Amino acid sequence: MSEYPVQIGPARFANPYFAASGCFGYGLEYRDFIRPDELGAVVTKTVTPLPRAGNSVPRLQETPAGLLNSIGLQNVGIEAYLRDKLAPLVEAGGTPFVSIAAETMEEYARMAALLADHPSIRAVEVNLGCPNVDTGGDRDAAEARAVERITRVVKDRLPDRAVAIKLTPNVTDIVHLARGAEQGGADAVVAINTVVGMDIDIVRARPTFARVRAGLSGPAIFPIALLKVWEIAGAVRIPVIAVGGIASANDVIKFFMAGATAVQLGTLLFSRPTLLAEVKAGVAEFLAARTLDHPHRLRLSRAGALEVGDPASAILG
Amino acid sequence: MSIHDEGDGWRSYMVKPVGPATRELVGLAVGGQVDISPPLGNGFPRVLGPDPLLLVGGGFGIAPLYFLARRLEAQAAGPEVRILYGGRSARDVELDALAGLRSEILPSTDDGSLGFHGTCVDRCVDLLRREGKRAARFTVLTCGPHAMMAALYRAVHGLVHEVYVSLEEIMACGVGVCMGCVTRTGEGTVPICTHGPVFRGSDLVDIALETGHV
Repeated sequence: MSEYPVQIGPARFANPYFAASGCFGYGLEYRDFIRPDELGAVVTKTVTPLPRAGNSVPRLQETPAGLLNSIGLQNVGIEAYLRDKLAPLVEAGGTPFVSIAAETMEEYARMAALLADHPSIRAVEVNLGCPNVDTGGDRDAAEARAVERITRVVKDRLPDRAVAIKLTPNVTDIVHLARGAEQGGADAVVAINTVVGMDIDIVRARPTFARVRAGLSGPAIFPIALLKVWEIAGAVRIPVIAVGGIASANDVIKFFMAGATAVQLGTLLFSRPTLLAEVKAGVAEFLAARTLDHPHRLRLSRAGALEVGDPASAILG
Repeated sequence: MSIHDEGDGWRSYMVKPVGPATRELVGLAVGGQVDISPPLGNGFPRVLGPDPLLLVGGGFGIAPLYFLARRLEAQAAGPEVRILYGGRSARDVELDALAGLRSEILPSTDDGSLGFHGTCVDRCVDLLRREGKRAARFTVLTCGPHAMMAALYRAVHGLVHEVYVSLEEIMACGVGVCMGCVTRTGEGTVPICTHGPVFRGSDLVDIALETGHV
């Protein structure tokens, strides 16, 4: 199977297929189904400065084409993560793309400094706009200047790693946030985080989730994510990592056409651990049929045509 | 859903259609195929006895208890096993699901239409009181609605040796990734899919407090 290496800032990845944060644990839980070295990177469950117990159950509700979750960033905390979880993933051949979230600039600075001590961490994703916690992050995520400040605080301490900023779609204009990340020195933006929604338990006649709001993921949000990726890719020069509802190789091809540099598989891994293999084979076949040598050749011009669509330029490129 | 029975080269499952996946399973045609990845998590203890056991099932919770009783009955000189099976009314107590067991089966219904008039929790407490001091040697193993199991735990944990509880929760991954199906224990908030679904009742915070999931 062809591998398509991708470069994001100072970091190189063997292929553009990553696991999305929250959908692949700390990297080894799924090893009976997907070996971590089959992925370009494993974006880990978000870690926070201190361990978090998360929200009360129920935390999940299936929808006709998606999954509502209100997990609440349950995690072991950054210190236990670095002590217990990081090395086993690296030993298994995985590429750690560590997801972090914090409430203050001081916490972001401290976390970034801790991560800097671990050379095996190739990249860091800053999880802005998780809908399931009460933090400044939720509010800051919606302000481009705050995004820029958080990005700078993290990037300054991790100059030789890729720093990617994961953006919330629950704002008026996600492009402003992406520009904030770019101005703060981000190596990439990740779009999109979950879309907020709710559910009501009609038997108990109350909101299903204790916090009322929850994050929607899965195929239902794919068209939303696709538009956001298209808009952001047309507005910034840094790579866009696309995430949101990928359910097939065709979805991945659409993200590449919209301008994504890499993609993250998430919710569908829960029900289809074979998705990664399907995506790899499907994209390779699509490229081979058009004699293109890399998914990046799929990127459309803003006029809507393949920028480098003909075989001759693909070979030259 | 649960494993219900097994034999040489076959295994049966008892499935209640509650969502898309269970409806699809129930709707499978003869010869239909599904991919499964069992066994996940931890079941009831492998070694039980020689002290007496009470298996307390509420509604669909009876499914794994049948499987457990079959295994216990297959042991040479296995422990004394009694099965308490409760439902709202006779319609909810499918004694056919327990066909072929040698263990004593004690049905109960909330409306008194079959067996003991009252809940299986009342039935269990009644039985243990009659046992007197011998009750302290019993182990109780239960599966059913969360509120029933919580009520049972609170009613009997001081009377018996040990209570094992099989928890149910909506799960997305089944392997401890999504953290969707958690419960609070003495060692923190843990996924039910990997640390359970069977727990010692004394390890569970919410069973004792009647908080969390109801």
